[in-house]
Amino acid sequence: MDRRNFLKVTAATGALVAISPSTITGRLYADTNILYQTYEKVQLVDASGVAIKASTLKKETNYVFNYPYVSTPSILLDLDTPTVQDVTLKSEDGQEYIWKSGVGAKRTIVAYSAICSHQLAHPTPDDSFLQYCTKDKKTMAYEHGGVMVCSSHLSAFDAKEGCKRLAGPAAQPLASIIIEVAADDTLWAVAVLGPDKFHEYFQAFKPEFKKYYGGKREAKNLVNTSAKMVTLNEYTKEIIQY
Amino acid sequence: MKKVILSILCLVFASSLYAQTKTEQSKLASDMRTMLAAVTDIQRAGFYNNKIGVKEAATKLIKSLDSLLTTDPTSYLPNDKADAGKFAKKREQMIKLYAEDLIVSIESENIEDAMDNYSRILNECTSCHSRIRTKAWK
Repeated sequence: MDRRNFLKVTAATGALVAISPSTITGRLYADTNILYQTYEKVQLVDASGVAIKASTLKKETNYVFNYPYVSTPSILLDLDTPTVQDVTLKSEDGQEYIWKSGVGAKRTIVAYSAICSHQLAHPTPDDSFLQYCTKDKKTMAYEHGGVMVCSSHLSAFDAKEGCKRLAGPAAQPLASIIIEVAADDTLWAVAVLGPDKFHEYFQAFKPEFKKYYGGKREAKNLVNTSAKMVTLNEYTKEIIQY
Repeated sequence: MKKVILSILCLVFASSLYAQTKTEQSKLASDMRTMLAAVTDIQRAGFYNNKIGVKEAATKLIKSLDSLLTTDPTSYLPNDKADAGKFAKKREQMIKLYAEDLIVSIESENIEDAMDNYSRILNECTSCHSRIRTKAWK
């Protein structure tokens, strides 16, 4: 490689990293197997593209947005009580990590990857077996409501404690989506904390990706700039909760 | 006389309902056996690199799913698992989806994907049986 080409490659790489730092930081975190990965910072917007404000969220309502990939559903909640702080969680392979707390004025806003850590049940446009069960409802998965429930094999997770496992066959928490509330009250997704199941998910649901996204390659596109967030009722035709 | 005729009519109606349920259940049991045979055939044909065999077995599996897909799961689930009807239905739909994709993969000579579909089918079967027949495993 001559000097001119070397300078071109160096300048192009520098420009790429400057435009999108997560292209390099994300890879580095993944390679070191740390349970935290930054992705493109995206703004949560409603179906018509208007930024959603934290103060407009309805309490204990399942909001769905796809992040960090266009096909990986996440659930955002504004709980009715403040979340617990600095929760130590453990992945299936024994790695510990700290879930700091919910965000927002009262630390009530949380978001989790809506792919079950047991057998990857997740909301689709046709149905949803995994969602938050409000406090006033009963679930077969746990002794009371107010928890995230996967109704496929009846696993329950504590939404106010980083979705640590409470009951059922799941062996680890749901991964958390790191949310930031900006000074103007808008919501941003920035990273994933904890043992995500994205790799297994992309392996397992190839026919489903064809149906909903046109194929696996399309399903693996990263979300950028903004992510549409709607209520679970709007996202899916049928909510199944036992 | 009226009472006698009414009683006979009720009895005939009840027995025909019972007979219909029994027929549906035996059809489902038969289809379940066909599903098991089809899954075994996919594996056997896969091990012998028999693409036509894999395709035929996958088609057989899809056909055998028909009665399951059109039957209300609560009619065949054990009483204590009747609430898992929608879960069972979802597993049936996923098996069909994977079996259809298995055929597409075989036709496009993507054997790795085809065998992956096969393992997903098995996973759906065991996923359902482990939930529905929890007690049977103990």
